Amino acid sequence: MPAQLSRRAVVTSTVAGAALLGTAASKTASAETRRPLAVSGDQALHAARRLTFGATPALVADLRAKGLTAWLDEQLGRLPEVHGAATGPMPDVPVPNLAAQMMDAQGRGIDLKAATFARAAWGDRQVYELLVEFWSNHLSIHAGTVGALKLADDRAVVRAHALGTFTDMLLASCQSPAMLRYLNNDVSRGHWPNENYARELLELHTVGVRARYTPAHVRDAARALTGLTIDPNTQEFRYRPEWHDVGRLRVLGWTHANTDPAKGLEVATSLVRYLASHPSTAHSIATKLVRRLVGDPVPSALVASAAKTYLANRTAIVPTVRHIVLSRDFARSAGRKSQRPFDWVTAAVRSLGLQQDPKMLTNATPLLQMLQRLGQAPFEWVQPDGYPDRTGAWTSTSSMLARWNTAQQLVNGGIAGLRPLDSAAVLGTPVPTTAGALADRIVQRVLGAPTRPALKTALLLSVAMASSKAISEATAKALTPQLAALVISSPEAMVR
Amino acid sequence: MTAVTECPDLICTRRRLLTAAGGVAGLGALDLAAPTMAFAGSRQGGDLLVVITLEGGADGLSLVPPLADRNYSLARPDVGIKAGQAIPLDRTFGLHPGLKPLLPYWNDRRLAIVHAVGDSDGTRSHFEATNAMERGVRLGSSVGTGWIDRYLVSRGLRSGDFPSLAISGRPAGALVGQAPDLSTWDVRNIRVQVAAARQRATEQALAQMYAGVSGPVPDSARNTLAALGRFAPFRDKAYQPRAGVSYPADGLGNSLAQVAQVARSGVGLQVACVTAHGWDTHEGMGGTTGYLNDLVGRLGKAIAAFAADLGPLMSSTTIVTMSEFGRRVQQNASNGVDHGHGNAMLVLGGGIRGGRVYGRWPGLASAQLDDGDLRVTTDYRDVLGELVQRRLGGRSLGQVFPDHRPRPLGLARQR
Repeated sequence: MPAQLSRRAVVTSTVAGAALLGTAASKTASAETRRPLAVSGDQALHAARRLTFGATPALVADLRAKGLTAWLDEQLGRLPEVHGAATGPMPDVPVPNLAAQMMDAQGRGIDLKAATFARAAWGDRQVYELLVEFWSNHLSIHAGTVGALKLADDRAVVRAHALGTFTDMLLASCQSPAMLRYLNNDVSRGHWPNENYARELLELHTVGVRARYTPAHVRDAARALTGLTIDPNTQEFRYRPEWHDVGRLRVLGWTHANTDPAKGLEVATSLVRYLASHPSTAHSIATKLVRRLVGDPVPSALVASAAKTYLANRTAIVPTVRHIVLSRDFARSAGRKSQRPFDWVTAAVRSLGLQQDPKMLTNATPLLQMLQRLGQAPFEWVQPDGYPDRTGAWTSTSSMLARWNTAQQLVNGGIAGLRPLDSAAVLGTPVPTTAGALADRIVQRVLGAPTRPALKTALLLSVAMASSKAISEATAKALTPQLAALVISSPEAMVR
Repeated sequence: MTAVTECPDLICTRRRLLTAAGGVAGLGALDLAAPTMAFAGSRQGGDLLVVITLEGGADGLSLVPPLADRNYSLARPDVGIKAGQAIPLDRTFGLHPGLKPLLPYWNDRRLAIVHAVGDSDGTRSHFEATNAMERGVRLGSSVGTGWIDRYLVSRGLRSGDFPSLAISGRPAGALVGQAPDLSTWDVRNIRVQVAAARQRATEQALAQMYAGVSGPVPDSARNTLAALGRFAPFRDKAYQPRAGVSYPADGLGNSLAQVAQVARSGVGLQVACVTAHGWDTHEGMGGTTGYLNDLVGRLGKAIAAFAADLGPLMSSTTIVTMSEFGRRVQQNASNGVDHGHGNAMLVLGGGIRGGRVYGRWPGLASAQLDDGDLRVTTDYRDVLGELVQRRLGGRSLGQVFPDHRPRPLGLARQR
């Protein structure tokens, strides 16, 4: 089917759409008639979509007024209050009294997950939350495995250091009971240690396989980490010298005599510091940050310069992020990054202006089920490599159907915890008086810019109306939810 | 705080995940076991291939313990399978007691075992190994497609085919590539959930808005729209397995039941991939009781149920298990085994010359090991290559495995 059908032809013919539906073509079929999605070149809109969990009209206006650099520096400028206790309030998010039920009786951490969603969807510190998500995923821990321990990890490892240095974050991580439990270091002892944490510390958290460490290096790293465990009574970090395996250690270019079991924690700390500032770690982290902030394929020159920035700033995160965001590659990457499910749903919530229902906290289950159906509930990736960030990892039928079906639920109040769409707020005034103007208004509100004629054609097709068809205010409002659901189901809404 | 005593770093037990999910219905994102299927309107001259991936690195030395190798019991005083516990297969090997449901297939020579098999390259990283094995290529290869996809392409894609279906949240690595791949958690629930009166218009609008756009996401959208029609016959159809067959009530059992439903419907299923999680047994794996025993027991039951359910279709079906690597010979201090190398594969089917353990056993004496691990003497692609050539009607092995020339072991009869 040609890309540019006349609207009238499509509107008056249901045959066209039906023909599309019945065809199970191979991926290459009629590829010549298709083009990559064109997106707005508006830089403020681009930055707002890429650096947050979803652009809103207010955020785009703010960013446009301040300029990217000033806005970014403001976003990165100060660490939000990190809650001193597990029970502390979250000042930047309208989530009342998270305290009591951060974890349920089974230690499922339901409200930590709901709070994570709430901060992404409604928090003001969008870039900070984006980085928190990035580092949570980099040092990924499956909450179902570690239960309530993840709560302290979220606060003391990720949130405390997301704008600090990676060295400090990693040092906190290697003493985080959640991480030690998740990767078995809490039971690793003696001369035949459990290598699980050591291997992933090397492979996933720091240098990566390209550093070409050997099995002996993995084992020595595991030996260096023996004794870093959890106190069975307090469930807090504890170093047990009697579990530490002494003897000379070598991991890549790091060596240690490691003679005194009482000083084993210093040995582990020395190794972690070495790894955090290793050039291969700089490369790995720069690659991941560029993939997140710019997209695939990652521009290798930008990775190299970002890695250099990381090392020159002694693993500081903010200068590295700033370097990437203020690059030309970033500016040229509008629309080139696919939304993962979590990004997609937060962007849908934000762009539609959906509000939180107070019920969300007392019963977060429907919200979490929605995130699970989409495939990306916080802290539910079981393997230690974190949710994937490549387009191909998410382009599946089940992911697509889950998004389309979630879109229908979102606009209809089908997710307890989220209020239904406020059609009047989406439309603004004056309320459009033709079907075409209605479609345009919703597209503008949700996507932030006008887009392809084909999208408008599709919207009109769905309501079987010509563009010029006059509609009443009541009709406009009644049609808004279903049209909005289609807009957040569109190819335009699948990219950031 | 839950006390976790076993294998926490990978998918762990389904039991625990189900507990963690509480009353969560639908359990889509829990990623329990994910069948991925490839099918065409009618299957042309090749077996149905069912690939069961044991994710996390299954311990082949527990699945098929080398009872006669005394270094085995020395290395595993606490977690091994003892001679009296295993089902003897031949002079060297036994079968894990949990796989007893498969014994009839061994006895009637439809179940073959390949031991000391794996990726010749031998990384001990889950992610590298999985990635290389899904693509069926050397480590570091730039080939971006999966081996099953290349097999399907080598068979020739026809317009109107529905080459692949996934019952998972994400695409299966082995299916990534040219052949359209489809995944879903539930073959009985592929639909756009919207009021019936708006169903058709909604689907048409979606088709229209994705029609002119190229790229992986729009491709996926088109496959999804095509699937809506293709799977309409399965919608809300409760599946009735063959009389007397009951699948374990877990992710793998559920996945294989879905595969059986589609296979038995006669739509021409060509390839299905299912995943069983939880094999990364670093800790507290147990012996003939405990964590791993439970996992192996459910694997045995699920495969046996599937084979029984397919009935006569098993004569043109081949089931193969794969895992990214085996595990260390020596147990660790937390009663587990760390990442290793050589492994065992199970191959079951009507066209298999079973009742035999294939491959050269390299021994477990320390000088015979590869960095402390069972040495790989057979590349996994030798097994797959033979299946592709003799059972699946694959036309170009060079296309399917571009950087490895498979050497057949003789475990499959030419179809």
